[in-house]
Amino acid sequence: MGDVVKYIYDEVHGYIPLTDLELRIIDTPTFQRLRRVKQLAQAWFVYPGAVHTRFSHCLGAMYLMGRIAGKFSREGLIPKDDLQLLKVAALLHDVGHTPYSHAIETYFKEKFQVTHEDISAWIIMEDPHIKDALNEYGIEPREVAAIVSGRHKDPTYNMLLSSDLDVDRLDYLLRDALHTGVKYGLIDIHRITTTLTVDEKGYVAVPEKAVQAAESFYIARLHMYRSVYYHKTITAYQLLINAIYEEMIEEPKVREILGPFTTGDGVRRAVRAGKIYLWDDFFIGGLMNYVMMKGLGDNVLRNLIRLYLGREGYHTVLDRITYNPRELSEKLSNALTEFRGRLRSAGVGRHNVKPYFDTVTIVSEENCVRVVAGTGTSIPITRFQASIISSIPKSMGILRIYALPDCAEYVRKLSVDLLNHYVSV
Amino acid sequence: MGRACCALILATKVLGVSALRDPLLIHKATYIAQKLFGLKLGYRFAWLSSGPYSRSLSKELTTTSLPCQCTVRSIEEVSTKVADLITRVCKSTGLPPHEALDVIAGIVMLSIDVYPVPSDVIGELRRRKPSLRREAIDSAVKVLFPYLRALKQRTQ
Repeated sequence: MGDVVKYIYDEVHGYIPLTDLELRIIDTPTFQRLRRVKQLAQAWFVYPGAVHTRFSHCLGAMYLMGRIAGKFSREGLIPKDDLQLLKVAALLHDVGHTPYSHAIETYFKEKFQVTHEDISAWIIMEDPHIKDALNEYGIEPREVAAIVSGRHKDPTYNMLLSSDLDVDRLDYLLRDALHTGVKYGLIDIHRITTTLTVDEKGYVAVPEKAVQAAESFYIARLHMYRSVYYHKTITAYQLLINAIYEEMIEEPKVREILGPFTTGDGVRRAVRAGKIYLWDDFFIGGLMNYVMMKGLGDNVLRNLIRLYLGREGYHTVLDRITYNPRELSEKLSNALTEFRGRLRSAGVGRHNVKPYFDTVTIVSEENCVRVVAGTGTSIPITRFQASIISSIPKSMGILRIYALPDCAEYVRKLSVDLLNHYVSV
Repeated sequence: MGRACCALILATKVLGVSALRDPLLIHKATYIAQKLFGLKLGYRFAWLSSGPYSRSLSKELTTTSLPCQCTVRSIEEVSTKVADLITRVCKSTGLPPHEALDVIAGIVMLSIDVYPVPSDVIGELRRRKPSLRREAIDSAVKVLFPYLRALKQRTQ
């Protein structure tokens, strides 16, 4: 790995050292775009300080990868030569995030089955700025993309970037807790990074002495899910920006301004042409202002933007959390169909009401942190008797009905009539 | 989720209801059905120490249980093909069905779906699963060879 040529001060980890290659990648317009993509999309509607970006998160993930993979290489668990490869993969793992992060990604996922991981892989292999930077330093873009996609031949590399206790989650939990001010999202990062190891089958694992640090990670994550990532108001504004994007694409004059950023193929074309750097929060935010200034589009689009800019969006008329999502999901299926039918009959517009049901994995039994015993073999933390993780719920279901202010009362009554008895607390 | 239901039905048809006790078997059966027999469920699989793993499938399984409705018509046909393949690998290797499934999924993923492609797929698989005999994996590779050749031709 190359020498350190620069340091960047990071609010979470302190001074982050950069090698020549890392600096070369960071200085590309494609990577600089991440300065203009907020990490937590619409969280600043609830937590005013949550305006940090994907840029700092990617630097943080790379820094943690350097610490953990560096430890592994000193212990002979991975080759020293792969350290730079792993750090670059961490640096680029989120390079394909859409503007407003997950909010707009949902549109591309549902319409074109394109995820931010796909776009990241396209950028790493096809964006001229990134591809050239990697090639100049002898790093094969396809191998970096393989790690980011979880398809490197060495599963340990994939798990360092994508498992329960990976560098991505470790960084975003700390960073998001700091910027939102949610104190119970904090974790003991020093204990985790200095004790993490690899078992004889290549699983990333913690030794018995660090089990409490891993437990506190799971508990902190659960709190962050409830307080931030699935906060009712934050989700409401993500649904609203998603509806706005959908409406903008349907309006010919606005669609023209959006250029290639309306389809999965279009995004890929923009990547290949080195133009993805234009697709950021500012572009979409500015376009919303432009629509309002010029009176473009129909009343539906302009009304949604007005509500968004004025923070007058969806009201939560029903909000239930369950730790038995399977049971709730089975009960709800028919009720939600009837609920939607009644809304259609009453002439309620498709963006006026948003039923929302999602499940969150708290601990994935088949892919959770493993605890390594003295012999070198490991077992999942969910089966480690001394750990409280075996006793906490494994998943959480969230059911919400959102409605725009002008029909909130009607929808609230309908929700109570049709859905409430399925989800009574 | 309809597609997770298809994965559940597939796994139980291939390995019996005992497959439901180990979600990783559902991941492996679904991976093989998609990759070798063209079942279109749209799951993406990562390569982990436990074998092919899909985060979406794992999430969807938290809200799915049998009986449920799978609308993919070819599910019966694909299940039979996966079950036949497992039976053939069991016969040639002497492995029990769940281990045969594990070996098939590992060989296919290492041969087709990871990068860099290991120069020694069998050695790579044994590194992760030291209890497996080399001869058993060799025999499984022989059974899988026509499938792998066809897959490679399709992807080239």
